[in-house]
Amino acid sequence: MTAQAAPSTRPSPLRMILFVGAALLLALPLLLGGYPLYLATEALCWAIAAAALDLLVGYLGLTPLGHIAMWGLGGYTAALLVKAGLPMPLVLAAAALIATIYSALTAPLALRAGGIFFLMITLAFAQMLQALIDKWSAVTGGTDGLTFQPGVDSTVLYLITLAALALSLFLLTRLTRSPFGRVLEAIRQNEGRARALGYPVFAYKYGAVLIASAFIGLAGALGAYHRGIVTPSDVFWLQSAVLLIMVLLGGARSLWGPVLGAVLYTVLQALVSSQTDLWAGLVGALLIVLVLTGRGGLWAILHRRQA
Amino acid sequence: MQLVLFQLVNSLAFGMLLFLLSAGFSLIFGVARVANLAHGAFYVLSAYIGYTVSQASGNFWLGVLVATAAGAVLGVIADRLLLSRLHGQELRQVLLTLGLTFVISDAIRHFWGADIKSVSPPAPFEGPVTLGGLVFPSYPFVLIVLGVVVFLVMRWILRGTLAGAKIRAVTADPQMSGTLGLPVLRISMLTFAAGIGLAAFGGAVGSPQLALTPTLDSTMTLFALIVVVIGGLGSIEGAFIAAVLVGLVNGFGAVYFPAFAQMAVFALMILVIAVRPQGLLGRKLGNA
Repeated sequence: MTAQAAPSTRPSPLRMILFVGAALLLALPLLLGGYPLYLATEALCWAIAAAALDLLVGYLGLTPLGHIAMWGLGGYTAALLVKAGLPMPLVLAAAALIATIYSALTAPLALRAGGIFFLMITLAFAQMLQALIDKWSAVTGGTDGLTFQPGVDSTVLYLITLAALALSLFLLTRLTRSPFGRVLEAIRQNEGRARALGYPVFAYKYGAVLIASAFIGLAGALGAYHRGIVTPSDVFWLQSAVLLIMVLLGGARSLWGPVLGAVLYTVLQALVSSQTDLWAGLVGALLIVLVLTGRGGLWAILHRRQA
Repeated sequence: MQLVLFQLVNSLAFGMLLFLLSAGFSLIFGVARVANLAHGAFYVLSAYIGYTVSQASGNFWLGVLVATAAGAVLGVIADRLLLSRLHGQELRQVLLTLGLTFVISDAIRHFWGADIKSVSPPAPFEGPVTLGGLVFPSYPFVLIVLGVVVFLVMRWILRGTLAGAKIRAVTADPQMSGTLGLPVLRISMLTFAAGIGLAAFGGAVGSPQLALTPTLDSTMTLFALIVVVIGGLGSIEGAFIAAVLVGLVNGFGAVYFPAFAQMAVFALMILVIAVRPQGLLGRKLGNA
């Protein structure tokens, strides 16, 4: 696991492809509507969450398995506030805030335990939240979930989600290239040394978890707007695994990797699950192959070819 | 009173199943440092195998035997073929077992269907027993006896035999044990066989108590994680105590506050790790 190569200043072919891709993405709703547009919005929501998760997995080297809780909280917050008649900007901000508060309360215990326990404890908290959502039907609608009228046109929502992704990527990139991001990398590479150098390692980890949570909460809220329904199964722990798979599929060493992974996963799922019921098994097999063979995911493969 | 005693017996029986499940998880984590998120999937898969063999042969215990053997073999295969290639890479091993979970539960759905399979207890234990004027189902008592016997045997193996001493050495410090000439890989393989075999045994003997559904796997994996985190990794006694505790909280929770039984179990876990991050009887593991 080496540090990321220094970003080149001259526009690389890959960057060109990105710009063309971005232009295409903007034009997409004009070219197609209906189901493809629905899928595209879905992929963008996941892309935001996956990129944020990568801050922890790829940069800090910390693997949670409860991040779906932040997504779910964002989603339920959005559903409840939209029902209450709040405007979208306020709803999105509240969703990000609630997800951050959840992490602010739960992360210290998980971070203190550390290592593989971090994974287990974040998972336990997420599962507790799922149980709460499932049982507290007066507020959450129980197993049936909450349906609501998002009140946003699907094309507009697509553009808003695209803008949210662009903004998230911009902010996260700034963050990873800032001194803060460098310290995260230092912690990943050698936590003991970072501590010996006098960095408050715990505070940095905590900060990174909170930042990632805010973005994942935002993504969950957009996902809720997009689907018009939230259910307890959105918060099931295996969904955390799916998000993790997106990160690894695309590659955790760059923020673009998870974005690519999210898009690829969403498209693959749409294609394969229309053909067979064994979609989950295929995802599992894909994960096993990725873990056994993958070194840095697809994004790294594209990068290497280009270099 | 009848209800309380009835629930006590059922909760203890469930606790014993949790012990069989999580003792193996704890062993595997201790020796190979793998948090096997497919543990519940192996439990359920073996239970289905046992169910099929029992149905075909008409002999419940033959089903248990085959299921346990199948579990042990699957454990060795998973270790040799997949996990040992990622030796020392904790995160990738965890992800691999997650992948296995997806594959196994889809395989179960494919081969056995999604409907619930209820299994009746074997011959002398299908009926009720009368104790002190109260009537209980008899099979939960079988589970309690089996759980206690397995606990005592495991304890004896780990504390009183050379094999146990080796396992404890590797659990305490795999690198040092390897340097001192212990065959760490072979010990790891046998631990996988024993650990998944135990889960498989639990799945097969537990099938009359917990009806089989394809979604049971993620529930059981969560329970295994909770029990091991509460009990402390690498401690069989810890796993036993925690399994009983979780069984009781879950069982009585289901009676007295049905909506929040699952939350009570998680709350118990959070309470324990807030006070003792290493679990009730856990020690700090080397290289963990």
